[in-house]
Amino acid sequence: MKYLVLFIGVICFIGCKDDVIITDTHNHTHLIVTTNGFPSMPMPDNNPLTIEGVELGRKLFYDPILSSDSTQSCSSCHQQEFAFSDPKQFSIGVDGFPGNRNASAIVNAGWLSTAFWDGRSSSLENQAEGPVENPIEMHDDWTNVVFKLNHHKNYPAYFKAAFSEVTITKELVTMAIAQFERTLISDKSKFDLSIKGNYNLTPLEAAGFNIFFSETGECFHCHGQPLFTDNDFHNNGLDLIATDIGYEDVTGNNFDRAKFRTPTLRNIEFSAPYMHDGRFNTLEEVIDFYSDSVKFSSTLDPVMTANSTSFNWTPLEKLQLLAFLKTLSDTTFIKNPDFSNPW
Amino acid sequence: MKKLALSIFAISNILLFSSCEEDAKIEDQHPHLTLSVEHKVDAQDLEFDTIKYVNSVGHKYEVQTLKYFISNVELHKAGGSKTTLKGPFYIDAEDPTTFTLDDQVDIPTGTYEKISLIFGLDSTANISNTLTSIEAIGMNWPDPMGGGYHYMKLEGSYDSLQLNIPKNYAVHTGASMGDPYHINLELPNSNFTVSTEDISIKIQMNVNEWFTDPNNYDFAAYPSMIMVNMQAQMALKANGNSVFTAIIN
Repeated sequence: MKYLVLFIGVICFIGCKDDVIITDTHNHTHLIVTTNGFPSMPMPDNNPLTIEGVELGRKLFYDPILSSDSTQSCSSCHQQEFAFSDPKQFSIGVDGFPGNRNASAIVNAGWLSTAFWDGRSSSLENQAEGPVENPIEMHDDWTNVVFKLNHHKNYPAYFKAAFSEVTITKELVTMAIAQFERTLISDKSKFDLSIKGNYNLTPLEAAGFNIFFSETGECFHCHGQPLFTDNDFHNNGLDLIATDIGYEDVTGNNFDRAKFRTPTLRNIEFSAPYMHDGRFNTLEEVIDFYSDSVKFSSTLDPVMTANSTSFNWTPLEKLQLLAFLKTLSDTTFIKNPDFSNPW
Repeated sequence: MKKLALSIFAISNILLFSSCEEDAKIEDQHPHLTLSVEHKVDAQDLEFDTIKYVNSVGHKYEVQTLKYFISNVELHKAGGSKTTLKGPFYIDAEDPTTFTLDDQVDIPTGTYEKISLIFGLDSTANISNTLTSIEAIGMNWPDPMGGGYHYMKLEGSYDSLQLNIPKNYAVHTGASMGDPYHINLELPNSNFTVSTEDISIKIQMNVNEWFTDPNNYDFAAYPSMIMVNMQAQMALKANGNSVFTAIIN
């Protein structure tokens, strides 16, 4: 009977996701991510994806049990309809205090080598540790969270199914959340369809594509295919004098001043506001900035000002770029029931 | 007598076979070659983010990014046989974990006449979306400009007037509009002998050589946006012939 249930579960899962290959190994059903045109997703040896782990991570991601007053979950600031970002400039924590950076979108995060705008976490597991104890976020402590989970009527069984462990630990909680986040894959935008020959870009979108992927736009150097991020850190010229030093805070190197992790542009239409501090409310403002208002400083990325002048795109070119950026929207991603609140 | 002859025949065969087996064993136990890269600016080790180097036109400059591919590294033995490390190898000059191309190359003993390699990727390898490593993502060369991958990203700033007013430069090489600018190189003084000892060879890039010999490369003329600038690509390809040398240890 157990195997029948597992078999039905596997069939359901195949039906829901076409980005994964499933192999049944011992007690867990392992998933291997295979997305056309993407590199292999890096996977920690001690935390392979399993159906049980992903489902547990999804429950935890949406459960306010992780916060001190049980009012906030990960999904409070990473909302699916906004590509798992927060439409507020700065998210508000359980005590009513705002953060100081815009909540990053979670899109294809399994391919990123760092997390947070300043790259201070080297893995999704490590990233998931932070918000629980951050006083301007969930403001709980891990000892208490682990206690609550261990005394929950269902979680011990969920963890046993996912990790064969009866005692819940901080490490297992973050591993499960990271597993769920690795499944948040977006690869079905109009742009992806056009690559496969299943959609023809409109003339406006195609003209935007040509700007984006040429030195007229220079966008591709940081936002290249297929992830539309280069997994690296850059100063994109927002300020003459940076008030937020970004990556320098992590490296201690003043040559990294005002550098931030390149965000993916996939689903950028859904993840306003923009930049690390959410200063721009619309994509039009972002395009205007890159066209006309990049500021020079000693750490400004060489690609940004190498011609010593602004791009000065015409109004039509701006419209074309905007049209192309919207081809990166993947409505199946923001509506995927596998990614939604399971409670 | 017949028995004696048979015995001698059998013993000699055993000895002969043992001897061959021993030879085969020795033949199989090649020394190991460690092949790696290093980066200099003339005689100095490459140091990032500090304007202290001077190019052939007198501009002071610094390097912020140096990422590139080499491929088809071939060690040519006298007599025509060769050992090939196909790659492609992605190298980030800021990331020492990318410096060792291979530290377990099984290399036959003997005299080697030269080392050859391709700087960049030839047309059989330079095809969009075929490199599956995460690092390759940042090296994509968009299809509207010819597709494939950057051979090299060399970026930083320069100070042409030495007035502490640096400007940025970005030297990006690749198959511009599909025209291949990869470089087939034979490294100078790259002959060596392999005996029974392991051997180490470093492929050394002298960054300053990109900017001279035979062309003085002027950042003011080509600060950036050279991906479809054939003149700049050709100048860099010509200069690239003297960029790499081999250091045999």
